[in-house]
Amino acid sequence: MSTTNAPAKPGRSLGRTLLQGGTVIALLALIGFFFAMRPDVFLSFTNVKNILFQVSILAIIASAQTVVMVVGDFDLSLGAISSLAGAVAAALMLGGVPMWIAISVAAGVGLLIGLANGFLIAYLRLSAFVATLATMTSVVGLAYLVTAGTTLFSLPEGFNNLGQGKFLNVPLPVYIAIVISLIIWSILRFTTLGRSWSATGGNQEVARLSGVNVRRARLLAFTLAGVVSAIGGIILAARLGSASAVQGSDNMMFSVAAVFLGMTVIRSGMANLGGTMVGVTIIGVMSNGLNILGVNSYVQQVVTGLIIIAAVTLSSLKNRER
Amino acid sequence: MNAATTTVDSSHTIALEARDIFKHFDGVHALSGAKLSVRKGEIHALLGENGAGKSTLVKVLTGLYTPDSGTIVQNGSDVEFANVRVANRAGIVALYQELSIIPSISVAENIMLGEQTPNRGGLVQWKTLRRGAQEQLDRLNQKIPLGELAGELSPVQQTMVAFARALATNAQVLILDEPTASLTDTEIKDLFAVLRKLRDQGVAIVYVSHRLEEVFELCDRLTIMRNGETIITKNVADSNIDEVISTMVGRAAGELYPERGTATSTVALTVEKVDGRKVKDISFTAHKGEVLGIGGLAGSGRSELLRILAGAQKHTAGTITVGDKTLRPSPGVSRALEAGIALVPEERRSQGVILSATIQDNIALANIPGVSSFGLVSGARIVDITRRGMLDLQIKARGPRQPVGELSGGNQQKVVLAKMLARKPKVLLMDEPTRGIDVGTKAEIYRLIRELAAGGTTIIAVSSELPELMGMSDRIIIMHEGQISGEVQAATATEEILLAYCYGKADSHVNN
Amino acid sequence: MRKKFTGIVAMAAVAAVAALALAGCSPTASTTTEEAAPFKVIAFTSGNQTPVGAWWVKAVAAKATELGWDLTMIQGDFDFTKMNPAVESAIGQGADAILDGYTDVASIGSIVTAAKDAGIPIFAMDSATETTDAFVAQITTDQQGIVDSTVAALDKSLGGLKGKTVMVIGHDPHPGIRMRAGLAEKAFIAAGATIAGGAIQKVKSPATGRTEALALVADYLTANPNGLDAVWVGWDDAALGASKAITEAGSSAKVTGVDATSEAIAEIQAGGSFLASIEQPWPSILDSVIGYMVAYQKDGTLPAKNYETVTTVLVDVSNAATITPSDKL
Repeated sequence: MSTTNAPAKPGRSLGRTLLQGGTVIALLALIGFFFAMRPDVFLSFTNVKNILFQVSILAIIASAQTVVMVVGDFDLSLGAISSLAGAVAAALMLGGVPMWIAISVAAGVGLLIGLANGFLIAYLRLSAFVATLATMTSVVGLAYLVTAGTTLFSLPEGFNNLGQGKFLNVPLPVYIAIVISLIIWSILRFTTLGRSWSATGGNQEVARLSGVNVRRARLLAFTLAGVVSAIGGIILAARLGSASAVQGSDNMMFSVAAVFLGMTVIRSGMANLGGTMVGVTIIGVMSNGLNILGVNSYVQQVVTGLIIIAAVTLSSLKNRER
Repeated sequence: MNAATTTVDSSHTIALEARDIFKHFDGVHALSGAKLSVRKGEIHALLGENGAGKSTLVKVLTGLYTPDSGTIVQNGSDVEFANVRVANRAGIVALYQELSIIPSISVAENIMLGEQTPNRGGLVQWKTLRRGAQEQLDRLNQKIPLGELAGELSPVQQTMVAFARALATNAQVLILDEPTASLTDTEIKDLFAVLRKLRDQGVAIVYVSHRLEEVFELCDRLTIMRNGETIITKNVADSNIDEVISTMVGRAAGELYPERGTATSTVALTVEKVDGRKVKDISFTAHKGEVLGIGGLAGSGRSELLRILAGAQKHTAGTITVGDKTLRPSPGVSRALEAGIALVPEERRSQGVILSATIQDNIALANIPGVSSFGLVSGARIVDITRRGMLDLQIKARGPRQPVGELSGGNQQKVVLAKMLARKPKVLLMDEPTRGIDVGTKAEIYRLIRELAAGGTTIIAVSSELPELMGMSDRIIIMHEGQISGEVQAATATEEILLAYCYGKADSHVNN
Repeated sequence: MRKKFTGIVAMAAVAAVAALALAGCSPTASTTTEEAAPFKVIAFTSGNQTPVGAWWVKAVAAKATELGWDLTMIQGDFDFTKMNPAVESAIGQGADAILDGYTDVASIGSIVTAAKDAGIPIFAMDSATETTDAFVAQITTDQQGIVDSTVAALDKSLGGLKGKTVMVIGHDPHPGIRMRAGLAEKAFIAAGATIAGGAIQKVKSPATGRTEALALVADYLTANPNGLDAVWVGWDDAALGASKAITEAGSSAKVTGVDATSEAIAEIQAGGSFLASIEQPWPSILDSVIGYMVAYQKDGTLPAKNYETVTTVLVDVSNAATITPSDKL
């Protein structure tokens, strides 16, 4: 006696396909629009390289944010951690510490702060908002201390090369961002740790009752995010050749925006790395395109905000319709 | 691995047994010597009225609660479950109505979740995972695509996935709480087929449900609880629905209730053909000075009805008239209060009072117009109203400034009452007025209710306890699945009649 | 600039000790023969987190100790909701004079009112770009002068501005930068140059000024290869971003900034795209303002004019080595 079940839900309506593909379509539409406006420039190799270069740091930090949001939390301190890491690496190198040790220490700082965040949130049960807001505040203060309120510069040539060097005429940070995103994507997709993150983010109670160590999963998510953001900050310092206490501050908001944009890309509406990269690309394309068109930067800010609102609304509509 | 190839055991091996379980919360006894014995390869129904202790017993069996005393025996040895995970690992799994799957990941992953996920060095072995998931689905004879996101499945499919997960953990005892509540008839048939299959494979199934027809169609044995105790365990074949209903009943009435007889013939409230989300076509009248009791099983729509009357929820059809005022479909609580309807809600701790605020602040809450002039709140009037309330209701506290959270349950309930009474309502609605309150205070509250009625207030009270309904009301309305199934004068009501109405049965074959 | 990581701990300790010392140390007896209570001064700045602001805080404290003043220093961290009430409370406790450093008059309306009501005069530096009756004395740098020298430097370097394309980068929230960016735009247009993008490019946040300027110039150059002859930037941090973009794009455009920070000076000396910056003589400006306050302390005299501008010095490769960087004051 076999049971055949009725199909899950009556077919995929056009609306649902649009909702799902909507963000990617938006990206293609944006590219199409800017291309039409400046066909000689917009999709040229130089400009594409330019866009990728400009978003490489954001891509790294957005990967970190993706991990935290997959688990169902978010992290307000990632921008601050990246600035602090850059500042620590710079300060150490200016103090004569060899480059790779300085980088490792800076990454270690990111790891410790991520660990602190994870502990506060997963074990002491603070809300992610409160805990990461508090960490952010303290971390910015630390960054000011490390940089003595100014901008550290005159960093070693080898270090700057990490951010400004090129391979096959493409800047190194682009490769670094791609590698980091691939690594994080693989962790999310293929490891038990990554799957336990997805389970926890999907329904914490069910995951817990099924034997997933939810506390440890959350702790590890924040810790990884801390390290990855630190790497982003180190690369940013190399890119600019300087480190200030606040130079990564934009990236926090944009990383959250990118992840939200990315959430609209897949069926389940959960945070995912591929979608985040689509979101990062949208942000980069918009900024570059509007710059090329000479649009006032205040107007750019308004438009960016509107796009984020649209994305978040799309994302929540999608989650509401189930 | 987890292959279920146990042979059906015909010698009645006991899979799980609970003996003499006692459990209390805040002085209220939820379980007083409860017992349950479940055999391998049977479907065993757990029955009882609201408050009989069924869900508490289930929570004890699955490790959510630790019993005060008593033993749990599994496969012959005593066991103790420190938490749910330990119980799950021991093979005891409960499946509830609430979402028990993770909607954002695939069916296969849901089934092989957590400790069941096959992995090597941290990398998931996807082939093995899919195979394992398919195995469980085959056991249940379900064709559900492994790659589909669990959130996109229909409710019954989701339940099946939850079953599959329970089986993947090698569950030996499956406890189901109202599994058919949101299923269509065809889906129920399918579910039963699956359950029988599992039973034949040797799984022990505990079936908690109010739907007695289902129980008699599906289950092998049944256990009836009452008042936290287990009354009887029988083979279903040796019993029938009426007998079950009679057995569920049978408490000593006690002398808690004052005399009736304050109802007048003046109509205070008219409800005509009112529809809500669950409730349909509700029509009744209530009189000045009358105590109208509303009964019914959990989920029958009683609380919703009160919320609609109180203006906290909108009604989509019909009219509600208080005196000469007709309430609009979405009146909101303050308009309802103005019209003279006040509600003492079910969850006093979260809906009735502000625990951290003082008694006088709580009482002033619902009555700000009454304690203010020209937009300024009068401290003197607040104190005055509070003192009077405390005296009238005999609220035992250090003083009007004591935080309500420090009072006993009974006194907290009195604060809620005082708050509502300060508005001098025409109709007072009460949802479970004596839940979680000691017997002595219960008696006081019944007396207060009768006094208020004598003073002309109309009281409409929802209660899950039939004796309470019969004792404190003049007239009783019973609801069943959103509609009124019966109306009785309290003086001539018996628990059997009321219970029959609760289950939607006409009283033709219940003998007085 | 050498900073060791362990220096952070040392710095924190030093900062703590210094704060305690400043708080606890009482003004040494002055050389005046008066028996009256010491001259009470409330000093405040919102910009203490910038290098110049940090220098100012230290310099004012040193001057106060030297002069035997009773000083209350309030640091605002760019947070006016925090700073203004703090200053107003101090005013409420009474003072003889108030000193405003680098805090725009537009943001301290409530402080100005409180001071007026209490009859306490406010002396200020770099806090307004025109005369205002909020201050009895205010000295700032001459924005027109800044523009003249930087525009002239570009003119000379490019061999004339007529027909050249210049990008002007500004930041509106800062009144000084806003004013000089506007003046620079006018000057370029008058000299026959074209403004890149048709208008002043605005940076949204001082924190991300460098990256924003970098992106602006990089994108512009991608869209208009070799389309820039010069970038005039209102302050050094952003100018450094523009300069990097130019170098990376392989363009030969020139950049000027303002502030003469050590990094800018290093770039100027390196002889790349960074052409020149402006040194603003804050130490001598502070001395002048303090001078006014001492005069007021002596016999209540106030300066004849309540708004003065001071000329600045153009810093280019010829004199870069002689300039003290603004973050090293």
